[in-house]
Parts: sequence; C-alpha cells; structure tokens
Amino acid sequence: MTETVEVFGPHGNLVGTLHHPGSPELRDVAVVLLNAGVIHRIGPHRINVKLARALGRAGVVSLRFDLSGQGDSRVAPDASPHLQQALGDVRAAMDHIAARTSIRRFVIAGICSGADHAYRVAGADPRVAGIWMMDGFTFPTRRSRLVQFAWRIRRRLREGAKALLDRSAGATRDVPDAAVATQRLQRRAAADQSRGVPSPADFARHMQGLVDRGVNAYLLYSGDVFYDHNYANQLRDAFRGHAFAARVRCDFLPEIDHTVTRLQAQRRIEALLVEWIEAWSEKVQARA
Amino acid sequence: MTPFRFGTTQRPLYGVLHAAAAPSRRDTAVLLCNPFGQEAVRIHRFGRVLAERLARVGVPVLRFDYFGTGDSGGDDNDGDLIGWADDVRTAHLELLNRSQTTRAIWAGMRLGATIALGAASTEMPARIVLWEPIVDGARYLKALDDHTVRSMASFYGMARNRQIPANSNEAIGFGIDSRLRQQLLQIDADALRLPRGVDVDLIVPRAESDAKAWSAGRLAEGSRLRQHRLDHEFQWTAEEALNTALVPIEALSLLMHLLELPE
Repeated sequence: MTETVEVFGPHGNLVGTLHHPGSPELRDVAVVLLNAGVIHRIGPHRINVKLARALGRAGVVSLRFDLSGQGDSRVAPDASPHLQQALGDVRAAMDHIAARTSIRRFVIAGICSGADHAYRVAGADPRVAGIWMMDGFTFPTRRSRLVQFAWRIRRRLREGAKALLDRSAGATRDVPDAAVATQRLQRRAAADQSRGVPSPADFARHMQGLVDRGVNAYLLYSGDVFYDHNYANQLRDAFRGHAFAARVRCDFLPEIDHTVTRLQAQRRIEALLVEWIEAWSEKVQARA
Repeated sequence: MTPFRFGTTQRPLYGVLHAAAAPSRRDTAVLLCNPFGQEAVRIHRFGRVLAERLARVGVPVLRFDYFGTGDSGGDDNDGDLIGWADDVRTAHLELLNRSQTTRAIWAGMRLGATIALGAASTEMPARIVLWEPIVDGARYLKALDDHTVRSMASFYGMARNRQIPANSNEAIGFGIDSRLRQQLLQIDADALRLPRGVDVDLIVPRAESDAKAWSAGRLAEGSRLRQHRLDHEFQWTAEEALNTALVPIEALSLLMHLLELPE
C-alpha cells in the first residue's frame, strides 16, 4: 500500500493524500474522503486516515483531501461561493484520481458537512456511483420526537433519583448527565440549522433521482444526532411512500458519537464502510 | 506552501514547508513541534496561519507530523517519545536543507514542547519556544482520560458506559500503546531539564499551572529562560473548536513576536 502527497486542482491549490492498495486487483470505485467541518483531511481523531487504510487493505483506492482554504489547501484564486467551490474541488479530486489510476467511478464519503457535500456532488456529477453520509441531513418524525421526549424524561428521573440517594449518603455528584447531554444535543441541532437542510420533498426528489441513476447510498446516523434521528427505521418512516427509502442503506448507531471517538467505534465504522463497498463494487485489474 | 514526504521508507514523515516570501537578513528558520492527539487537530489551523505570517516576513517554517500521527506514516500505536524526538531532529535537518538556512528555532506546543526539550542538543536548535509544556506526565494522562470520560458522559449513547479503564490504550480518540503510556508517566518536572546553552522562551497561561511551577524551579537554577504570560486561555482539546477561537489573536501575536526576535 502506498500513501502519496498529491497537489492538484486547476490552480494547483488542493492538497490531498492518495492511498493506493498497490495490489494487482482493485475495486472499480475509488473513495473521496472529505473534510468534516473545519478539521483537516486526517478527519476527527484521524478517522479519515484509518478509513483510507482500511479501504486500501480491501483493494479500494482513496483520496482524502482538503477543500480550498482548509487544512493544507490554498484558497482558489478565482474562489466561488463555498458550496459551489466545494463541488468544483470534489470534481477536481475525481479528475485527479482518474488521471493517476484506472478508476472512473467514485464514492464520495463525508461526516457532517462532508456528508452534505457528498449529497450535492452526487446530484451534479454522473461519475458518482456511491455516497456515504455520516450524520448528514436529518428528518424527524412524530415517533422520533416522542423517543427524544421520553429519553429526556427518563434521564431526568434517573438523575433525580441518583441525586436523592447521593444526598442521603452525603456524597457529591458529577454534572448531571441529562442536562449536559441535552445541551450537547441542542447545540448540535442548532449548528445543523446553518447547513441548508433541504426540505423533505427536495431531499426525496434528489435521492430518488440518485437511486434511479444507480447510485448506491449509505446513510449512517450516530447517537449524537439523537435529537432528530433516533431509531432504526426512521428514514423509511419519514419518507413513507417514496421508493428510494427502501433502496438506500440506513443505519442508526447510538453507541457511536459524531466524531467517532472510541477506537472500538472507529473500527466498527471502518468495517461497515468496507463491507458496504465490497457488497456492490467489482474487482478489476489495476492499470500497469 | 509545499507539502511533501521526508524521512525514510520505514519511517515516512509528512511536512509542509512555508518558504520565505520576503528576503530576510536572518539566517534562521522555524520548526513547529505539534502537541499530541486531539490537541494536534485543534492547533492545526493555528499552525498554518502562524507559518504563513512568518513566511510573509521572511522566516521559513516547517510544520510536520510525527510518525504515527497526522499525515505521516504509521498507526496510532506506532508513536513513542523517543521516536518522536528523532523525528524532530530529522525535521530540523530537512528544514535547514530546504530553506537554505543554518539555524532553526523550535516552537513546541504542549507535548510537542516536552518532545522538543528531549530532542535538543548542543547542535540544535538555536532557541526553543515552549508553549505550555507537559511537565507532569501522570497528570497529563489523567487529564486526557478525564476529558474522554466527560465527553462520553455528555453523549447520549455512551451514558451508561462512561468508565475508561485504567491504563487505557486510547486518549480522546487516539491510540496510546503501553510503551508510550509508560514514557508519558515518566515525564516528571524534577527530571525535566533545559538544554545547556540554549535560550528558552516559555509561554504559560495566566492561571497557576504545572508549567509555571516548573519554570520557577528552572529560573532559580539560573537557566536561560524567559517566561511570557498568555492571557487567552487556549482550549487545547475542544472538538471542532465549538465556541472557541480557532486562531486566537493574542496567542498568534505572542508567537509571532517571539519567533521574529533576533538571536
């Protein structure tokens, strides 16, 4: 397996790391791993490096790179508005992989804002054969609101009981989990409001178009978006009546946090991504 | 800004050289020595902005990742303090070669400052700037563990499993193997000495800290140490820089001032 520093893009302003399995056989798709928020291309807790290496062991080429102005990439001299620039940058990444390898089909993978870019790029570029979106757009349902409400009540009751017991025993206690957790979830929900979440109708139309075109989609939700997405079949419920909902993979992993902190969680995410790509991609001979 | 790989095939390192954009009368470059783990993620943007500003005034800068971190080769568990000190020396020589300078100032942040102290010798560097060095390894590890527990405790999914086992092999999302853990536990203020004949600038927070107490001891010994107080409290482990400045101007100004100073 090789890892090489790549400088590319129409203005030579984009910096990335290309992971090549170095094996005679490759998978027929390459993965483009995007920035999560403001974090540079190694990803939160180096998760993008770990994902890229896991993909490499499975024969998948990947490029993790910094969008214009982020990480080690410079701002493009003719910079466009952010979303448009990101689209151009991801296209440049796909161009670069195609120039360096025999791969012509791509999976765009991202967490949070990276997931949002994956969603948009897939609609704009026919080379995208797959999207992997972790903690992308969420669509609450009546059930998800009830689940969230019930959880908050249970947590407060539990904390109250614990506080009572602690006071009886004369013990001091930590910051109550319920209040802190609720604040964390609310903070994340508030941050989501600045992301330009599409309406359910627009999302359904966009996803249906992707699925009809043959794009494989894997939506993954962590416990950190519990405020808005908190049970296994929520996507299907939210889009009941829309065919795409039954044709995309959607997992809810409440034991995993937004930035995949625990090593065990990182290994789980690696395995899920590799397993998903292996399920629908083909093996091809690497270009000599 | 030129990203590149250096080091050896067995120990490939990643670095970014910020070449001097203006002529300088000083024959001195700057090497930035990262903190560990999440703190390195947090400081990345700051390091880039600092490097760009220094380069603009004629000071070449190299930012780099230790083996087993960032964009360098190696997995999390491949890192250790002795290897990282070697990486600092390797990066130092790479910097001098690429920038065509003969001297370098090392600016180390947190564990990077401690590593820089361990890597220094009579031959390198010309001066060291230490920003809140880790001087008590056991306390540092406990703080990392506590942060992970607090972070997981505030998170819905892990609320029932908030315990981090003793001698854990991870610290805020990064692997720490037993060798590194033992090395960190051995970092002790009494044993941490300044390199002979090297001027040292120490940046400490306003509040009392281990680094402040340690520097008092070094000053009492007559070391060539200057202490500088930074009033801005830098959130070293903040995730995604939520509610905290990515590049606080006070820290940037102080580092610029210290790194532009002539020897």
